[in-house]
Amino acid sequence: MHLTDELLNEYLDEALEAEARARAASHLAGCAECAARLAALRALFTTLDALPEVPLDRDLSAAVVARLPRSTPEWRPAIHWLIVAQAVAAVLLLAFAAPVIIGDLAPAGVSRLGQPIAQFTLDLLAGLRAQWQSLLGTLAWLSSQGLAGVRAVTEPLTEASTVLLGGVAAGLAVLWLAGNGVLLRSTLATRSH
Amino acid sequence: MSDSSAAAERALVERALRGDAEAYGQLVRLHQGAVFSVCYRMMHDRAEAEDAAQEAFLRAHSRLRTFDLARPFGPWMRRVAANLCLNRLESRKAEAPLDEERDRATTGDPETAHAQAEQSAAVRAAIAGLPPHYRAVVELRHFQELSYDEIAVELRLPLSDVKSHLFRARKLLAERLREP
Repeated sequence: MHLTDELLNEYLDEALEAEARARAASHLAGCAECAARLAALRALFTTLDALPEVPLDRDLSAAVVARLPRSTPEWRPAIHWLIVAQAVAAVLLLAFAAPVIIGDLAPAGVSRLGQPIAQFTLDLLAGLRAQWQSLLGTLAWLSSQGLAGVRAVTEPLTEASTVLLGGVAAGLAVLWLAGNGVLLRSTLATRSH
Repeated sequence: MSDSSAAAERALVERALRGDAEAYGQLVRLHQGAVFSVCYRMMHDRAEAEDAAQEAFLRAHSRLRTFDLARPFGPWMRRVAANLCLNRLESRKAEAPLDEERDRATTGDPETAHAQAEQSAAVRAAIAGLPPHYRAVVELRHFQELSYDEIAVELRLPLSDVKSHLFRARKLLAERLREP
């Protein structure tokens, strides 16, 4: 029985186990037909090996470098973390603004929520608001001590209504979140699938 | 490749990873000839091979973080090129007309040079006539000397498919090269 084409290929590719290779070699030594088929296959290998390289006539490096992305792979994680940090800041801004809007502008709406989770959220947000008031108080005290630079910052803050400041902060946060696709990300991902 | 040139090449890759475009440009200059050869064998068209080579370098740059710095850059880069060419061939609707460029003579004797060029052209045409996956396994086995297992990993094919593609490709090549 003669060797199969597959076996001859694997023999020349040196892909046979030692035992199978020895059996094939033994058969080839005594079978002129299989030896001739092996020689023909080896000739094809030689032909392919002899194929010369075609020289490249121009330098591709300038074109490749020109098309490289401006942000390198090394910088991507840093950018990623920067976006996360900005998102956290925006959410905190929203947390500051929420009690102003919910507490001062729509008390009736809050009472309709009537759920423990809503109450917990309101308590949390009220705490944040107290912190903000405390910060404003500190700035006002510094201002009263005659620090002109501080006064320039605090006067508009204390004079402006807290509701207005809350509204502006909420608007900025929502604008940032929407502008960076954070609010729309899940929708876009679903569409792309 | 000597130890010093391997170290210099590794330093270029590290600089490229840090965002140094000029370092990557140097890597391109070092390997563009070999990468172009891969693309030319696969695409059989000079303009398309140049375009594929550029694209391969861009693809390699985007995947540079996956490159194992302990290994030489050239073989990895040529595998990226072979894969990219395979993708292009598979997505191509109709075969483009073949580039009839003749190989340049490697000998001074005009008759021998002519015969060599004819033989090379015939081999290239025979390779170009193979289905895309057959071309890819021939490229990776004969010109990049990968084992069956390595080809299977590279092309994400079962080992049995790699073997059958390679054997059938060789059979087709032998038949076409026997044709007058």
